[in-house]
Amino acid sequence: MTARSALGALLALGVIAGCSHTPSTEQMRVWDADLQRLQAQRDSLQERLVMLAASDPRVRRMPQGDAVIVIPTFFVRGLIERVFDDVADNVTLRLSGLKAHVSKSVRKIVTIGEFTVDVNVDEVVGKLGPDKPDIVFADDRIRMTLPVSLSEGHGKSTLRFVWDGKNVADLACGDMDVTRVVSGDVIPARYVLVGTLQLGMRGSQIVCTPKFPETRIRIRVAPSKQSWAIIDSLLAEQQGVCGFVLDKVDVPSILKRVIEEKGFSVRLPVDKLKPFTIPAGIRDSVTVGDRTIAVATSSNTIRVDPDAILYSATVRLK
Amino acid sequence: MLALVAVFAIGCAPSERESDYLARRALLERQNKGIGELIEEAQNGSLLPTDRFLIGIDEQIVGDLFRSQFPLERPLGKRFVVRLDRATIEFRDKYGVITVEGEVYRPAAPDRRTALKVHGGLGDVRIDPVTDLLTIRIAIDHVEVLQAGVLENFLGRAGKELMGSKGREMLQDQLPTLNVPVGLARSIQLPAFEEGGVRVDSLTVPLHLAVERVIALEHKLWVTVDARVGEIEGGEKGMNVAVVKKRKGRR
Repeated sequence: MTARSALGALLALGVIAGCSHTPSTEQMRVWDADLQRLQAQRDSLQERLVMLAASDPRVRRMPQGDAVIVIPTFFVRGLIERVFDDVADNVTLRLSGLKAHVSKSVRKIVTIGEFTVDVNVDEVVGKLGPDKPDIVFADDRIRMTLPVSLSEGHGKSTLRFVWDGKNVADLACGDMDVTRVVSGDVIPARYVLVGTLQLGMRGSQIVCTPKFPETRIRIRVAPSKQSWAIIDSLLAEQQGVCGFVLDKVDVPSILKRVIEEKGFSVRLPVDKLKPFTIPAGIRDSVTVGDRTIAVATSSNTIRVDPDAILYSATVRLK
Repeated sequence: MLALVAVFAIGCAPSERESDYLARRALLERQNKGIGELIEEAQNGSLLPTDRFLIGIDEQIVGDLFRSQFPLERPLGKRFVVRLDRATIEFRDKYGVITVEGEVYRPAAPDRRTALKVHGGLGDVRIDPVTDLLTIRIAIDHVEVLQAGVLENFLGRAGKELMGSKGREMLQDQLPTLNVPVGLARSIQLPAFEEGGVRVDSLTVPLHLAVERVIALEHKLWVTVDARVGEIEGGEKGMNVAVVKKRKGRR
């Protein structure tokens, strides 16, 4: 800095310092009055706001705590519906290794033989589809009624018919051991899964735990026309030899009863669904600048109201 | 000559008493405006919306977290350092009242310090993309130079005002943010499970979050967040629920 510019700077600062004027007593009185008026207005407005807030049902029901989190049930409902819709719409139910076994003695005065019919489901593939779920928020839990439809599907099974003739029938008909593969379509059905989502705390996180009872659905399959034709021709071949046995056993009825009426009971493991964490929560630590501060929470309360899930906690910084 | 006129113009800035009055009036007017808006929202029944995520955090927690980093020193331009020592935070009037006190000095002359007080309110809020935590900037209204150290008598009030207005721009980027210990995850993980012959893959439900509003009310900071469910990942390729009965041995 040259001597000239330094002098200029000093002059400028001197001027600045010198130009500040002292307000008159009257002026200061006006300012004080103005500030008092604004302050009184603020206090009055603040008082009114406190009264309005106190009478606002949404403010009044807020739980006490240093931290409060309110999750609208509107959001949770939408989330459940969306997940259920996406998941259920993409579920392919693939059944295999299922078995049905029927055995019986046939008597005509004396036992004329024993038969067994084994149906082995090689594979049944069904497609699930979601229907509109019913979700209720009450009693600190979320109750869910989730209807699903088994709308389409097909499969094939191996049918084995064994006849072990006894006494006269053994002499007349001998034994029989026939195996055929039959196919069919899954009979559409609607199932309802009923359960709850329970809210709880894991540390400082809000955790949703699905609670479903053991749930079974019954899959029924209607043999195709082609399959009935195969069975009919098979029986027709044997009819001449031992017609009265086949009449007595009535294989088509057994088959119909086993796979079309009784069906196969399948357990859906919805009772094994794992808990998941709600996306909003108080953290165990916060990094502020270059320091990490531990955050302790206690006295957590969690409440489920019809329109919101409310969570509050006492927070202490360590 | 022009420079001299400019200097005069600056030099005829308000007196210290008038500056105090103007700063105090600006704060009260802002508070009254904020409280008035809250009253209007309360009368319309929209003070705390029910169809949005709502996070409330006590001013004491936010203040303690903010103060936990003090004393904090940050560079102010190329030649100065600001040291922040104290802060008060009040959440009552929609915009909040935040006061931070500290000093400015040149590293070359650390004994010559200028005390300052920063007045501000709630600024922009964002969800930190790394930590998922809510962070709030302090919007500076006014920087008050309280004591100019050895320059005190020389600078006068107007000189300190000049330093304050210049410092405001520089401080805006250097003030630390307010931190809220509430995290908002951007997705929900539905864990996979396998039970017997049934296997269900994990799903990721992405959430699109946007901070809508921040208000200071009844000693709490209230943050309203709009959350929407995105495209679910993991289920789009279809999910197999396979039920396979184990063979018990052939008859």
